Amino acid sequence: MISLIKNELIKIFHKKGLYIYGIIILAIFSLMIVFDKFVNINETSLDMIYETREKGLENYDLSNKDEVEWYVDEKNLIDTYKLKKGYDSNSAEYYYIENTIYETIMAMNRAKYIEKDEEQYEMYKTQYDEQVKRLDNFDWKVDVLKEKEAYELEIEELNNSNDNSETVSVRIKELNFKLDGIEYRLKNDVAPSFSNASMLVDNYVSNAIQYESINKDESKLLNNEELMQKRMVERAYNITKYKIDNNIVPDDDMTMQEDFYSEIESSTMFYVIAMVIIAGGIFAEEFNKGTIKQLLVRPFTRAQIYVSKVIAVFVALFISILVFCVLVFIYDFIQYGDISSFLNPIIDYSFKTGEIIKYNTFSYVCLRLIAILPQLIILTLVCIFTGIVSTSTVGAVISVFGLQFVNGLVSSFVSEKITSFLPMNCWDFTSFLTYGVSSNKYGTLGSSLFICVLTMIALYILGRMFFGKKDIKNQ
Amino acid sequence: MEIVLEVKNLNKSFGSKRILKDVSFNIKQGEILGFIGPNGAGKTTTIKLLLGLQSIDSGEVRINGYDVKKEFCEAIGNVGAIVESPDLYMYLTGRKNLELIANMYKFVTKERIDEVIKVVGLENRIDDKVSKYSLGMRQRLGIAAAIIHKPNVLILDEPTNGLDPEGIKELRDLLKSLAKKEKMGILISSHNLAELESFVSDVCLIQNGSVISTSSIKDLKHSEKALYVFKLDKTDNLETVLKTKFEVVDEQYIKMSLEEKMVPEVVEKLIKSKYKIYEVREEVISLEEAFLKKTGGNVID
Repeated sequence: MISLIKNELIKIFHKKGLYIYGIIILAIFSLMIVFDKFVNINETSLDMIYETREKGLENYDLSNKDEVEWYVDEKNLIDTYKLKKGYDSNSAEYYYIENTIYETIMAMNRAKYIEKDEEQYEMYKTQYDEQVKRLDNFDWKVDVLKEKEAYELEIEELNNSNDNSETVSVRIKELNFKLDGIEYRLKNDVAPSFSNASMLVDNYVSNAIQYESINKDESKLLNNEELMQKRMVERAYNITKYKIDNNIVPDDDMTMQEDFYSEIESSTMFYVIAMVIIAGGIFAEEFNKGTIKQLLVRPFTRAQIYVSKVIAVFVALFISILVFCVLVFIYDFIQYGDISSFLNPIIDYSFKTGEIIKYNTFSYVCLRLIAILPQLIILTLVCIFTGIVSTSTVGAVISVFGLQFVNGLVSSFVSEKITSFLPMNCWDFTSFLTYGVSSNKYGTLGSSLFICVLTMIALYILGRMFFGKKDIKNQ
Repeated sequence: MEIVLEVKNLNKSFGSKRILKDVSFNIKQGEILGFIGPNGAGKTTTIKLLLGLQSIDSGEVRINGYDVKKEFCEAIGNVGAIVESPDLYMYLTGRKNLELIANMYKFVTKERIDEVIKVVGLENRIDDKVSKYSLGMRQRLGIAAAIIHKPNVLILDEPTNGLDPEGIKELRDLLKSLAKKEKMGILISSHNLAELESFVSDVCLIQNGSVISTSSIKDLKHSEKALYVFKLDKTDNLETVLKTKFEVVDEQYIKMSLEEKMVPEVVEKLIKSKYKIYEVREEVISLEEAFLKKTGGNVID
């Protein structure tokens, strides 16, 4: 049977379809590289854009109520841009302008053009001038320390209030988390900004607050949806806590590693298309063109021929996914020019042990691909089975893409509790990997695995039965 | 001679329509059996049943003693076939097509591939894609694919389609050589009876799913009463001399349907009646004519 499998692989890799698909992918990557390198909205372009927008302000009719609102919205953006254009987008000044001065600009312009309240305008203008002046020697710690003082005061007041209610207790915890964030900033000199380091602190604080507020007793949760929400928060909190505790500051720019595994993870459709190209014609085309007779008049049983074709499809699909990963790697290398990020561990959280786990890039990507494997296997077997029954390549292809449509249609009429056990709603194990829970409301890991395996066996046997009994009709 | 292909009471229906009714015939080693019948008679269906391409409703097919239903791999291992048309992968070269088939047999070597390429005369085009071949070239390649593993049973469905007269002659010589030297039993179906006549030893006639006759060509063409042609000095007043029905062709020739043993009696009567006889010969009918006689004149496609 090895010779049969070898023959099938020779036939698959001699067909143009896969290579045309590969060329299309290469063309898409090339276009993306060209777009990234040459179509870059840099500072000069932004200046031109805002200059044009500023000129456009002259066209607004300020006597018209609606136009005044639009005028003010535009002016807010233009005035803010003028202020922030001299600063790095990850700087504390930039953040201060975006969050604090922008609010003042909004209030100022509203007072001037909409409320037409001169007194209010002057008040906000004064505030604006003070804030702008601060930018000359901006010290972010001033605001942070003020914030710290305010939180500490509030904690003291709440403790002194003798109110032991849940609300107060929760508020105190919230404030303590915020203080933790501030302490981290002061200790590690992390200014509030749009940098990843600052976002990490903000994320830690919000995750911690959320985590504190959720019901940690999973047995009290009604279904997978609630469990998923709880685990999303738990995961986010633990990962950000780990990074904060170990001072693991992510780079501001996306790394090649992050880009690589997110592209591999999100490319299920590419794999499905490759599968359809390989599996769509492996039976159907042979029946159509009559070449199946060449196989059937040889000293092999139909079962052997069927098995060899199925194995060859999966081998070819594996090779195609591998080639795709290599193409993505090359594309990312051209973009980033530095593969050192691949050596960094990928941090994740285990719900089983309640501990942080670290993956290397290779094992992480493999796990993600394994998680979508049941989906690919089932779709492949559907494609093969339809190809045998219909002897139509088009029919085989439509059956794969039509499954989702059928799933949606069935879900409209049948209760969620029942449809959650359809193979299409059980075959993606990515959420199990990430959150230890099924993405559908009522499934478990065991039931999802069982349904997937049962579906695979049923499709395999049906395909084998139909192929075994099929008469070769006269042409 | 050993029987290499034995077909007994083969039956096949599609729904309520009975396609084959108790079809039976044998092929011996070294024998070339022509399988002929009008369009829709069941030739291709019979061949497909022999090769396991369609299921057998009832009956038995044994190839080299192996039952096709129960011991398929053993039965088919020594069979080469072309069914309906040579089934080749158009996107592959001729050589690649043959290599794919060779891969399925452990004993087929590279040298054997080169050998069959030479036998069918495709040396110059074997590395071109089959999509670029003419119909005749594809037919040749199909034959190469059928004989590459040195089968002892060859089943060919309309193998001369697309071949030019030279190609037909080469195929004929090849099949004769395979039958004689390799002792291959060959089943060949064709609608071109004139071509078949030159190299098949026996014919099996099928009509409406039933075998109506299996015999040698000689026996098929020869009937109890053959047609004799007489060349005389004149053909007037022969009715008074000859009691048998005859046909006057022209002033010198007459035709008569006679048993062979009656010929001397007719000659004697003519001589006694003072007719001069220049020639007496049996008119040889073609296989097509013999077939039409047997089948009652069905149109052959």
